[in-house]
Amino acid sequence: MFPSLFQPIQIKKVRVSNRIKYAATEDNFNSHDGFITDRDVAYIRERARGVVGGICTIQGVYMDPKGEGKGYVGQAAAWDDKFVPGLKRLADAIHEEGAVANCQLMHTGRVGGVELPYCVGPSAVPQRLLVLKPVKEMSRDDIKQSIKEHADAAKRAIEAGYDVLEVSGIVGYLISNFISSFTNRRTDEYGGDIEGRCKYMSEVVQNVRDVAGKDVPIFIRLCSDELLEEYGGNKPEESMEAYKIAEKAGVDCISVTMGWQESLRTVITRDIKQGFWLYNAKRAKDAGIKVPVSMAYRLFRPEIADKAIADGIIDIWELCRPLIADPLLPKKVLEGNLDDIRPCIACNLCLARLFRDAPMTCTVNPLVGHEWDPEWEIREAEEKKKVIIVGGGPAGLECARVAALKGHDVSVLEKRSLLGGQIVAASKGPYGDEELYGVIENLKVQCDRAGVKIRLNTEVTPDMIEEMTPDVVVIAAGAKFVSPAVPNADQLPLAKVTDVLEGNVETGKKVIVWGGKSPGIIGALYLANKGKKVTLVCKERKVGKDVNPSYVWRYIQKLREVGVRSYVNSDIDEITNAGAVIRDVTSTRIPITADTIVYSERESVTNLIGAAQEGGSEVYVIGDALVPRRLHNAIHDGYRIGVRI
Amino acid sequence: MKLTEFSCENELRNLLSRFNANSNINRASWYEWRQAALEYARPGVTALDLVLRAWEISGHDTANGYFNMLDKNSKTFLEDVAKAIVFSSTMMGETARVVKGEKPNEVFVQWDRCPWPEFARRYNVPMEEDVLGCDKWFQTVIEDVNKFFNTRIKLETTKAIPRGHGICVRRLSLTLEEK
Repeated sequence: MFPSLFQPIQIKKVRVSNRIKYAATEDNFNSHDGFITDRDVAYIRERARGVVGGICTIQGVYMDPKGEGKGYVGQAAAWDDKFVPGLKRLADAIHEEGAVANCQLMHTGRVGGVELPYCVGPSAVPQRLLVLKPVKEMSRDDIKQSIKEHADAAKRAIEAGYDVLEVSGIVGYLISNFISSFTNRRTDEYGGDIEGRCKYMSEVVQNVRDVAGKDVPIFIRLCSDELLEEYGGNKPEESMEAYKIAEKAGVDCISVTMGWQESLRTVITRDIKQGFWLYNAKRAKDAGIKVPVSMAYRLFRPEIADKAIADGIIDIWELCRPLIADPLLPKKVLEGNLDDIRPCIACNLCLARLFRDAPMTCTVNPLVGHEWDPEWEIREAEEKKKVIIVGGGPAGLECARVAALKGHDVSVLEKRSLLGGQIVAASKGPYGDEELYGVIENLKVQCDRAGVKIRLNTEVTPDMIEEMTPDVVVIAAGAKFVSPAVPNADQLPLAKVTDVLEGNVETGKKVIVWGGKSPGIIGALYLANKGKKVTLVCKERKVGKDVNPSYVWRYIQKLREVGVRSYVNSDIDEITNAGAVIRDVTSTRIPITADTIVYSERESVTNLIGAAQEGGSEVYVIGDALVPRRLHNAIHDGYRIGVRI
Repeated sequence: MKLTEFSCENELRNLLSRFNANSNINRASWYEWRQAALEYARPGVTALDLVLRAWEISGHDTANGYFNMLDKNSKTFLEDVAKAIVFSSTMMGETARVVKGEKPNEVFVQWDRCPWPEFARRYNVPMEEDVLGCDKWFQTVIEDVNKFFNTRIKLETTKAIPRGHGICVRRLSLTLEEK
């Protein structure tokens, strides 16, 4: 089906049976002193199984005993021989699943020192992001020591059985700090022009080569475009020079990456179209790079990757978040089961958790990080039960899928004519939000295959529950939207945000969106993109309080771009025939002209709980029916209850 | 500019954004001064010593401002003190309100939101220091009010956001007989 993806490739002594690579992913699953845990081994084993003979990369290991290069609290270490047995467990797990084991060496530079009061870099350039540590300038001795530590860690990786070594030079980590004119202001031989700024990288690669030997492939991940022009970062042409220097230093494959942690541009969120960044890989080829080129970055779809390989733009398809979401994605591609793939929705919950020192999780895959835990395993139920699930949104469908896989007789009753709950409206939002509905499409396929009976256009009543005599009732009826309870609310047309998004209601030209959580944001962006003048009013201290920090900044950027005015710490105090008066936290009243009010605040739908309990069934309440929250809460609730039934 | 071009919303919005920026600068300045003072403090002086003393100085100043606002003969004297605290808190960007107690001589001040702990975290200041600093400020204010009006108001902290309680609650009670 995708011939280019499943062609073998020979890189030095390693023959890879396809063009698929699981990219290094920090997960915070390891112990805080750098030792590998059962949790991480199980996580990696599943990804290795998924790449069906391709390359499986472990998370970047830090290499210094002080932890200056450590960017994540649960990051694996390789600064001493005592870490070799743990690294070997990961390599063995990858080999047992028939994949090629790749060990990434990663000094996180100005993103590092996660447990120190400082981090290190070529120059002490202040941080833009407050969460990052102040930078201490590395001395020449520090630089030499760091290069040696890369070589020592490489030696340990070889000893642990890895087939490939990879050097990380991306997103603001140490090698990229040296290469960038933004963060390297040195006047010695490690600074100056692009040649000087690449000297550290070249010496790392050469020293790793010295210990690895000539036949072991060495990969490198390097920025093709830092997207830091406003701070005086490298021009894309300089990045291509860095690629050539890396090739000359002896790397065998270059992974093309984009952007930095400190860049103000979005790179991997849904607003970036699939395959958008391929032009950077093409630039590398056009610049004369001869070694194989790989790429991830919004390249989720096999048909795009396959074509890019066929067209000679890339040689290897890298996947990171798509394999967090569905570790068996490449296997499903190989087998032609495309509708079986659980799609990544580029929400960045995984990253948000990492940067807040928490173990990684995934919105669409609740099993991430629990692969080792028998309590999370879907096993045949000892007692088969009749299960009714009220509501065909993400919580209800996930619960139905899991319960049906356990062997229960599961029915989903949905009052609307289509599945998806609030995701139906959410997927009408601009900037790639249509990808959200992919989750529902996949859940529907999974439910069908598991034998779930789905009844649409069925509003559940207490009588219906009584007649059906279920053993288990799961209330997954979601949330209802509530309008502001203020004087003169009938003075202006009021519209529910989901009705607006689904095109059931037209608004006027000047709209107040009440509620600053995700439904309000999506509604505001949708309306502003239709040319409306939009004011967002929210009670919370900031817009998008429910949205993870690795995504919310992108929403706020978009709101600004399209001219949405936001009032935080505020609520509607009064509605008039000319608009509304809002009151902020200091009790200041502000008049806002408007002709329509769109409401997006939610309350749980709980009316069936009592009836279900009275019937003597086991009753569970999940998703927004419990508390209105985010998609990941809904899906995770569904999984946890599904496993428990 | 014609009067018809004047937008109340724009003017208020600009004013509020300046107010919010100023509030943030005030909070940042507090922690920046703390850092500088610590670097120059004589040996043996801890961060908590400095912070408690600074809040004590601030508390005296605040209490002085309350003297003109309060009337000890008012039937709602205790509630008025609580309202004054709410007023001060609101002016610093906090969300606070007076909650009447079950007993006649008891009121509560409840903070539903407070930006100070976020700034404390930003400047790597222990959360408990934030609670104790606030307490010192309130206790100083109440002590001065008691001295000035010859009253017996007692203030207790029962919940604190920096301690993870979600809200701050302070109970104010008044013993009726004068000293």
